[in-house]
Amino acid sequence: MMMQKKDEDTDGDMFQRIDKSTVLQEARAFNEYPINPKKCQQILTKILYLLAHSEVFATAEATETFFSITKLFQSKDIPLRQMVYLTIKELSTIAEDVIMVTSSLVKDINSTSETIYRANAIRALCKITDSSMLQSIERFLKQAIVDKNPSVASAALVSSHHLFNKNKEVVKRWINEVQEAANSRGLATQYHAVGLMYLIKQHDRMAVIKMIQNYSSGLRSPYAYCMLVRYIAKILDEEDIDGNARGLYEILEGFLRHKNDMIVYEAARAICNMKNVTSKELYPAVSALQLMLVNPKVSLRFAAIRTLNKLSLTHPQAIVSCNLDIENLITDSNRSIATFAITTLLKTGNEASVDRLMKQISGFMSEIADEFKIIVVDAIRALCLKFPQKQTMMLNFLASILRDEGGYEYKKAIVDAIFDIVQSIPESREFAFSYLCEFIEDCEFTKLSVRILHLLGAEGPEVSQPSQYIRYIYNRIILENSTIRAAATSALAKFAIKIPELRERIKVLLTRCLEDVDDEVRDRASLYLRILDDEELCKKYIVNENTYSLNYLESSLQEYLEDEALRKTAFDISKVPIITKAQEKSEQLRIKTKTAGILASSAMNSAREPSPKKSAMAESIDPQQQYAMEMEAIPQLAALGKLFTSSTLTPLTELETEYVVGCVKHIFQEAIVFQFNVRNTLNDSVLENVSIVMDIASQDDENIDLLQPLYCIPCNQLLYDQPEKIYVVYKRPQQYTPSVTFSCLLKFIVKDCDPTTGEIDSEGFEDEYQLEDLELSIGDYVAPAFIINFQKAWDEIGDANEVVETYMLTAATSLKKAISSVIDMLGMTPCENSDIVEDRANTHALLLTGTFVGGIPCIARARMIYESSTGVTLELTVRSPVRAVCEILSNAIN
Amino acid sequence: MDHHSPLSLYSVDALIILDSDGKRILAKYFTQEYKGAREQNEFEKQLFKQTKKLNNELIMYEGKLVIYQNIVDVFIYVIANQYQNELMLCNFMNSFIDALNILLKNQVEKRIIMDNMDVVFLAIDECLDEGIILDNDATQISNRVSKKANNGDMNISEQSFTQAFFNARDQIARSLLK
Repeated sequence: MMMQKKDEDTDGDMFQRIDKSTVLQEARAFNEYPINPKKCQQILTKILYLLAHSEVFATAEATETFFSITKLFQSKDIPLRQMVYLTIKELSTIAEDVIMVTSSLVKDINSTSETIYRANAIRALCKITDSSMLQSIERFLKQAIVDKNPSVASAALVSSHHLFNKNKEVVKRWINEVQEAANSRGLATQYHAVGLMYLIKQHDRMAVIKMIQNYSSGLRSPYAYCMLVRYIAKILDEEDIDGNARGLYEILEGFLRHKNDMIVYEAARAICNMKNVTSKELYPAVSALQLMLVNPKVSLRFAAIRTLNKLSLTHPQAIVSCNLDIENLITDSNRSIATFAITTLLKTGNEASVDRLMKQISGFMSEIADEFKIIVVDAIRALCLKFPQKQTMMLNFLASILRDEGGYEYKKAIVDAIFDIVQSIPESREFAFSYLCEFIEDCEFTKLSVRILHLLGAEGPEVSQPSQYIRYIYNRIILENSTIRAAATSALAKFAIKIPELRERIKVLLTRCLEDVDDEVRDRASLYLRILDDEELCKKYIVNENTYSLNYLESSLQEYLEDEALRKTAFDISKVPIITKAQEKSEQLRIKTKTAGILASSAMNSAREPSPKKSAMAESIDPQQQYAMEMEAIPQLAALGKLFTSSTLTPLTELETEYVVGCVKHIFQEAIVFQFNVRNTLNDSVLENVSIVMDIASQDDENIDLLQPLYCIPCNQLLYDQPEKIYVVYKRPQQYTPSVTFSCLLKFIVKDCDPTTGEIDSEGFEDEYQLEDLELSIGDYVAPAFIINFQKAWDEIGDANEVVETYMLTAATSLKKAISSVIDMLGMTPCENSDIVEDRANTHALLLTGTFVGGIPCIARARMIYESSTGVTLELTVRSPVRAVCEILSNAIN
Repeated sequence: MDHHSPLSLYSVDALIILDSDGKRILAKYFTQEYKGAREQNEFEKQLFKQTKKLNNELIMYEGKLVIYQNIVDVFIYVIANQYQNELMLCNFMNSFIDALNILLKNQVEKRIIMDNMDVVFLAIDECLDEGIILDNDATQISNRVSKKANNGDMNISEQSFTQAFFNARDQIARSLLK
């Protein structure tokens, strides 16, 4: 309060009446001479204030201001100079021609006297530099990186980190300087050097491992250690279990004993996130987190419980030992911690502790925000399905929170939970229905009412006293809006159809609906009355257990609406596949359980995207469907017929090369299409007439001439960072499935191009680029197939054409590796989770199914024995209705 | 590498200072996620609603890690991606607040911040560069922020007598303890 008494009137509310045009007027003071540092600094502050309040500056305004600011370089005043740099950085993204100040900044960087603002000048310079200018300032940056002043070095390193995205090649040349900077005495400088070093080396795995080993001791910056932990985690994530991984895990475990909490936490978190982590590996990490749970610092408790909560989704057993400590957190004053604690316990708790837990939750529900409540409801739903005996209590709880205040998403989560419980625990039906009936009496969300009415109609008639619901449903017809009235009408009618005793009474009610003001309600009422009058129709209606495949129906209707020609005739529904309702239900359940995992992990995190389901659904669109759609758009490829199967993307280059190419193999009935995804990573060149030349490099088949190259669909122009596709088509006789290795060559005309304007030189020259060899193997001819009961399918095909082969897989060092390579080679789908093997197991049976090209089902059993001296011995049994397929597949192992 | 990769040095998505009514004193967003003024305003409004009552220090909000502190009549927020290390960010937050305390003479409150907006801007610039933590040493950060312009108003005569007295006492005590 004592400061700046005399300025109170001017300064104190200098931002109260601030206005952009006035400030821009004031900015003319920058041109005055001599410069008044204090006044100018105030104006600069105002400009920054406007920017920090999202004021929009037009390009012309910003440019004009920017250039008048450059006049201030004449002043030697240090605080003013720092403000100038800051304003230059802020305006540089809006104003034009900002590189004009380069020389002034370079002068400041090179000033011999040790001024405080050299670091600021470096950061400002890098901010205004575009990638093409980078070379001209390269020398200064390299010097600055190894400067003995840590702030200067940090400024240069951080700026290089920003520049890396714009011009990787130049920044990569500074690796020696960066390595030197990692030994700097400045802690932050070490952190920045390690970060930039990783950026440069990230795609060279061996180099990264070496870097980790180099720096895993001897650094002083805790931040830098945290980064190292993340790099280790990344490598472990990519690597199969082998010697390297073991060593890296030990480094992580070592960090768990570090004296700095930040590093301990980062390491514990990395271990918890490791895929295929064993309980032995988890143990030290969980113990470290357990210690944090009882720490008086909020941040430590928060960090620990957040990580354990995530772990509880995948390894609930590993956390059980912490349950007592976690229970104490339910009363934590930080509500986020309490929510994490509850949901963790709901995952790990056993049947005995559930009652106690539910009591604690009831008291807590009213205190937290809707998004947390949804998480809790989701957890309770899962718990109820796990312990069906507890359903009465759970339903009671859900019903009581259903009565409370809450938004749509929250109420929807509760209703969804009740629906799921009803579906999987039939005994709960009556109980649940009475709660739902009560809820629709006073429900403000039309959508929920409609869903509940539908459920009542579908399942209500099957409980012991169905007539009790009629009153609730009819009340809706009297009191609600037209959408709900229509739904209620249908529900009523279903009671009448399924229960003959009620039929006459309900008919009276439905007749009243004929007078409704809404036509949908009237239509439904008359439709159902017509059905009810005819005993035959009623029977048909009840017996009908089939429904249309809704996804397919939707897409074919869309197609119908988009195509003028199709629309001239009536829509043909007979083409839409019919599935039984049971099938539909199980399909829905499958999608639900699949998304449930994603949901649970993202629920906590993605309240921002209101429907995480949507993104999960988008993902569940098959990539093959996507490919098929893309290829159908190309007339030449559309003529090949229906796509049978597509492989996954095989990279044919490193990720960091000039041109990045990957290939997807598509198998058609009589053709093979190689789809090359090509991306140009050079911003100063454009490729034209890009094509792929494929040659057969090696094969073990005398009939290889049967495989005839047909044509290549080239890409006309390949611009910087805009991926394009090139297709090469081979003709293949129907029964012929060779394994071949192709050599691939990218051919093109390269032209220079100005990265800033995008202007392309008219002159270019031809060039080629060698890609890695591409393998076409038997597995590529097999489409995935899903079956539920392996044994049944196995017996159905029978052993008439069975082929048994035995192999020694000497290269496989574990069962896990053998399993993944067998799946790869055969291209078949593992069933009954048989691709998962326990760590210590020495024998394993892998069950596989697939569809061979031509639509021939195939099924295989691979029995494996592992011995450390000889590797894996494999006995492969293949069955299929066609003998030749069995032979081809059983010979596919190499 | 973009702002969302835990492998890059980008660790802070936004730094926001609000007053006790939830009105923005200043805000720096480093990601493109909250683009327009409207989105930012809405985000801040909701954030404030979630945090004004309880001084929880950390929460998860809209999938973001939010570290915050309420000092007198200002709320300071650091927003980061959920993959970030909250202990690292808390450490950063504390250094930033310590630096402000040094620069504003232990008077981190709305009126003083408004009066010394330039100092606060520079302090933020010295500890965060486009979302990368530039420094986490409070003394270092505050040293790099030069005080007001030379003809400025932060000279000794501005200090009250009591403050001068306390400073002198501190110094004497220190020299005696040596």
